[in-house]
Amino acid sequence: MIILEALLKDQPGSLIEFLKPISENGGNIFGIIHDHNKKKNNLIPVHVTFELHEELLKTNLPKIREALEEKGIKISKLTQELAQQEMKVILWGHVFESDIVNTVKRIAEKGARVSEIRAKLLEVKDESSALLTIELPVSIDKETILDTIQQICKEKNLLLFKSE
Amino acid sequence: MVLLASKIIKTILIGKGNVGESFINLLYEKNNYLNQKLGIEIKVIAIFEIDGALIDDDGINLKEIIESKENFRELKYWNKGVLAKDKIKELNADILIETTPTNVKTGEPAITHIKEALKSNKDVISSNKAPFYLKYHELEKLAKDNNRLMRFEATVGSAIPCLAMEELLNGNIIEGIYAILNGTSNYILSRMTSEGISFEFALKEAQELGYAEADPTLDIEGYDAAGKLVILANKLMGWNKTIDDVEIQGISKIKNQVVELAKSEDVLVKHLAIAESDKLIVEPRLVKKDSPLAINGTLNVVQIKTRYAGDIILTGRGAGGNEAASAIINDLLYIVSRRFSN
Repeated sequence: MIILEALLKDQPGSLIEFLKPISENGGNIFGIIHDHNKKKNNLIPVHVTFELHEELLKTNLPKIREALEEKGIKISKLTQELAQQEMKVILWGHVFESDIVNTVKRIAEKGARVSEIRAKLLEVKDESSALLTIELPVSIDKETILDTIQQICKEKNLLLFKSE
Repeated sequence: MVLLASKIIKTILIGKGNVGESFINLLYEKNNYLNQKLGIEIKVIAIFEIDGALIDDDGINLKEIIESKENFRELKYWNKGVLAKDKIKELNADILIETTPTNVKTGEPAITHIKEALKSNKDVISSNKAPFYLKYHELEKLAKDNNRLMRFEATVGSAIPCLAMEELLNGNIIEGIYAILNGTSNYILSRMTSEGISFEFALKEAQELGYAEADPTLDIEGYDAAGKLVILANKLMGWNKTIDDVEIQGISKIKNQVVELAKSEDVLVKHLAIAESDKLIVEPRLVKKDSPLAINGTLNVVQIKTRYAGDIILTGRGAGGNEAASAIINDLLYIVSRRFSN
């Protein structure tokens, strides 16, 4: 999903002109918020969400920006929000003693984010189990992240339970 | 199926253990039906044990064998010291049925029995897995070269017809297999989940109930499931693997805390056997409570991932004498239908 925000002159046809480069470059518009109540200095903020096929992202997203700038439109935001996927794993062993911060950081280095840790703890010296919820963009293969976790577990002598 | 009238099919049975005896009982029970409905009579002309054989070229009276129970060595058919490997070739039989216990390392003497049978124009049925996870392609080639049929449905999931799926799904493409293939480990994990008991306690319970062997290593360390997975992948997806190609992790190190933590997230710890992307894996995995793989007790399940029809799931009891014997009878009827029907 791509989010585009800009300020448009309050004059007839400006919204159409603004949307043209998106559709001409293959964008599929999901929603438009064009709020006259927020007009300042004769400029109205517009918020558009649209989808661009993965193959067109690299080539056509810059084209859209270029075309809008050529029209003198001031872009305040143009970002791609990556679709997320989630997976859960359980680690067993000295999960905390073996530096869980390091584990989380190393997963983050591969582009995934540990969004939640739930743990069962006994004594500090004892082994424990921790369930990690991991979020990652759909563009990253789950197997790549799982390979990294597997490697960490091997080094830290932890048991890894992957999801089905 | 149209068969020639009253066709006599001669078989050799090797092994008179749990499966062998169940086969004798079931055959005795079904022979009348087979005769009347299908026009065939299945005769057992030899039953081999480790120290000798019952032999009668005209067919052994199965009732006598059943009634003799442990005293079968006192029957007139008994030939002390006659071993299968020396006798298979010369016996005039159509089908050899191999039910000896699995030798995980060598697959012997079953491999020799199967080879001898194929080379002497006998079709083969086996409930013994080892030959097929150790020498699958060698045996398949030998059967093909000798124009023989070889069936081993009972080796995986017992009576669950998972190997038959190769033919039944011919119009599809099988891309992966997710399965639970060992009832003992599934029983242990199920009990740990439902009762909150330790692995050690659940294992002891399984042993007391007869679900686990005195030495449960093959079951709990995943070797049994790995062997079955190899057979499934080779048969259903045409792979060329042996048990050495399987990454195996057992369940003996699983602690209660892990099972409890999983349970609090509505997932279960299951010992899965996975064949996918040219990889064979047996390891504990987290399975959602509503997954078809979330089966309990000693049940087995095979989830076949197909290209054109999504998942196809088979589940049922994966072990037991009667279950294996019924799979053997199915294999027998398959061979009969291919060999002797018009």
